[in-house]
Amino acid sequence: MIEIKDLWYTYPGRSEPTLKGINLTVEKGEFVLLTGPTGCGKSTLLKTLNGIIPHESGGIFSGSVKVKGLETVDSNQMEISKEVGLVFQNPDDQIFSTTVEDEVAFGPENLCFEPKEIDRKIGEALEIVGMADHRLASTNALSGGQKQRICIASMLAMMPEILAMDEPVSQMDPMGTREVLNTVRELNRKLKTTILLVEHRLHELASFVDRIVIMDDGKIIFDQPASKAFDYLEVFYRLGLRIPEPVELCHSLGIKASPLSVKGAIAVLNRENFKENIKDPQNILNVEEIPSIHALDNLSTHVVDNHSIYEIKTPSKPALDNSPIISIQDLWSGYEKNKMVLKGINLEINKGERVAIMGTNGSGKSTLLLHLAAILKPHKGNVKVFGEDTRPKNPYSFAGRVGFVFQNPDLMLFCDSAEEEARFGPVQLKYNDIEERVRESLEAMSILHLKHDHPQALSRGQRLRTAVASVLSINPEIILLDEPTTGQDRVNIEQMMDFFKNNNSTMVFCTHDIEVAMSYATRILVMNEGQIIADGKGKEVIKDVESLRKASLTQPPVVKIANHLGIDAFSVKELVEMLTCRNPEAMKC
Amino acid sequence: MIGARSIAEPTIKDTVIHRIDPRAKILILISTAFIAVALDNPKTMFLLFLTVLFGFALARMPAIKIKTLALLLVFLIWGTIYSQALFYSQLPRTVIFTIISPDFPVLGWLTNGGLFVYEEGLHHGAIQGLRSASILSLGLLMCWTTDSRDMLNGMVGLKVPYSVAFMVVTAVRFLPIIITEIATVVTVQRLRGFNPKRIGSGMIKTLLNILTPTLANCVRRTGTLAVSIQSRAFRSNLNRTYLKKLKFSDADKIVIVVFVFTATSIVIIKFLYSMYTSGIYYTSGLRPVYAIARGYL
Repeated sequence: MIEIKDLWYTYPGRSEPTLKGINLTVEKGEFVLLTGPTGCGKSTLLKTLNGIIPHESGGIFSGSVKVKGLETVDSNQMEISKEVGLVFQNPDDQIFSTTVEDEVAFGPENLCFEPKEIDRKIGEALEIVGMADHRLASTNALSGGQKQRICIASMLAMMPEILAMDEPVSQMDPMGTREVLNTVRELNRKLKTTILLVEHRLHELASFVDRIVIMDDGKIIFDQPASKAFDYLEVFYRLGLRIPEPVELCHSLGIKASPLSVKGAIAVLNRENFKENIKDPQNILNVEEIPSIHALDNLSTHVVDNHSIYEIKTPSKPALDNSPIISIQDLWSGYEKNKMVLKGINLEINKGERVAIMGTNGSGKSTLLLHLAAILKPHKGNVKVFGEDTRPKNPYSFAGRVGFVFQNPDLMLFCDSAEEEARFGPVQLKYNDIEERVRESLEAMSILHLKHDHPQALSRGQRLRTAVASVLSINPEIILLDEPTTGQDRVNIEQMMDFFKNNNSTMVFCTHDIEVAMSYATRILVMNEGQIIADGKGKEVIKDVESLRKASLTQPPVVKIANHLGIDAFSVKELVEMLTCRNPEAMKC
Repeated sequence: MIGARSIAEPTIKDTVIHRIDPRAKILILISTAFIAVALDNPKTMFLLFLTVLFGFALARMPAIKIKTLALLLVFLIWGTIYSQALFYSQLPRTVIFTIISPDFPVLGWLTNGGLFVYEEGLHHGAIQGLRSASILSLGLLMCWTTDSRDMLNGMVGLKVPYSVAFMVVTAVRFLPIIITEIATVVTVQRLRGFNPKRIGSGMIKTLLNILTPTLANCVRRTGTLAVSIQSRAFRSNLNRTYLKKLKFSDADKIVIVVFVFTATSIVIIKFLYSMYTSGIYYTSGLRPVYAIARGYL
């Protein structure tokens, strides 16, 4: 179906090639996940499939890309467009029509189908993605997941045999992600559509795909069936790619198996008699007695008479202060009077807390965050930050005390260099030790060597780190992060979040990533339809299956596995520690 | 931020204004522009302005859009009247207020003989203001009551090349997003201790600071959109088909005829009248026409 041989490509104006001798063959009906660190050339490779590179882009192109036997360089782009559909990360950047029907009709109209045929194709495409009822809906009224399904439908209406998708779920909540992935999987199974999907969230997608291909620095360095890919974990670790928890668990337990799903992991554990060997789960040390996930790094265990004794070195707990730094009472807020986004929020956040806000798209997470920086004013109720009512204030009033990292860091970068970006805040606020602050913040984000570079010319991960450095140099008392992990690879996420954690900052962040929330938050809020439906320590919230279900969240795989085994564990490390302490004879390592 | 978006996006309802064919709307707008430019009579001009405003009532526009319109009209009409009142250069002119006397030290000399508010200038400014306000209001009414796809089809129906029409409509479609982004950049600056509203250097610096991230984002978004539409075979063929074919209703046809006829008539009458007043052509048979032009137009 796709045959790429010795493909080299250099963008116009660049000296270094982005693709360096790519060789790849994809068979009809395969579902291939293409992953790798940011800037490795994944998206560029996708664009070669339907001839956008080199037909529209220019640049230096050599090698061969054949789609269904057609050499893309020599073919008419209309011909290739019929065969390969492209779907991108942000549906808002792709949708330009105001109704669903018009958006889906665009491709068939360009291909000169008759109106009756176009009408039929729209119906079929929307049916496949489960959006037939929304045919006449406004595209603005759809959720992120629905919009992305419309993007897929607009490609399907052209009936391509290949669907190439560039991070289609990176901005979506778990429900939207599931909607899109299930749709794509169905297409692959029922219509035998060949899927080539680029995504960082390898750990969530691995169970859907047939094959995993990893790129690094413009080359394909790894190509294995999904069932065998995780036999080579060192590659994933080296490139900072996240591994599915069931795989990590089995490998940590020394089991030579790579189950991609919870079901698979349970089957493996059952086969290894883990459950049977845990005769009395009550005897296992309760997880609440374990100080923290991160303390386990410094943990050593001894087994004495089938009881676990933990020698714990001092854990790095945040310095919590019981005085509330943020206080919200009966907050109602909305963008239209008859459509409230926040409905009676009551919340107190103490100094030093790291609070994760989770929930579906549109549940009010970002709106709540905007209130904490006085960017929005309450419709009813009040918000107090540092004891000051935000109603008569504006963001300038809290400059230097509240730092905000927006979901799109690009909008935070307006200076001519990364160094200037970090200097901007301290200069405006007339701080004394400006140069030291600049250096420290750039160093903390590992971008000191890029200090003279223009921020907008940096890679996506580097742009995020520059935006964070611009906030860090001010050293605000409260840091607000609006979905900081979106579209970022693991290394970038960990570097940023580790810094905030080690700095004991008071931090409030929105995220869809339950594993990040569990790892970095001292407290998790779950929001649904403008209300807080769960609020507590990560481990408490994660047990509240009903609240998670309401917010379309699910427990992380490792928690589900632990539940099956009848024990409380909230991370792979915890579960491994508990299983190995209780059941050393089951270890095969 | 969301408010800014809802101002720029059309409000789709089922009203008599919304039901007008987009081609008819474009023709009405063009006709009205001709009428507004041709008219000089303040009363008729005011009547035209009121007629356009009545369109907003018929279209049942939401309050946020009415407020936006009111704000724009106040700035536009007040700005035009005030500037014309100060800088009116035709004679005769009657001074009704002195801002800077010719004898005032330095400023009197700098303003070349003082600065005055003229009665005729106010009168002229009011006509100019109403002229611009009528066209602006009707333009907004058209944009706020027409789906962007219909507008695109309307332009194509009036023989605007598809690529050009697509670019125009897409630019309008992304305007609300750009407004939201500008608001975000301003907020970012404020949170980092900069006061964008500070008069003078603050405002200039703010504008420059807004430019870089919003332009960079626009370029990135445009790149994605370009690739997305190319992969949907945009311009891959000289012709294309359309799912919906626009069809004029009888009401549309009547409206077009009325507006085009009125605009043509007014322009011709004004043309004949101006030939008469400038002494180029006169015939007694056209006296009723001259009377209409003098009295109402």
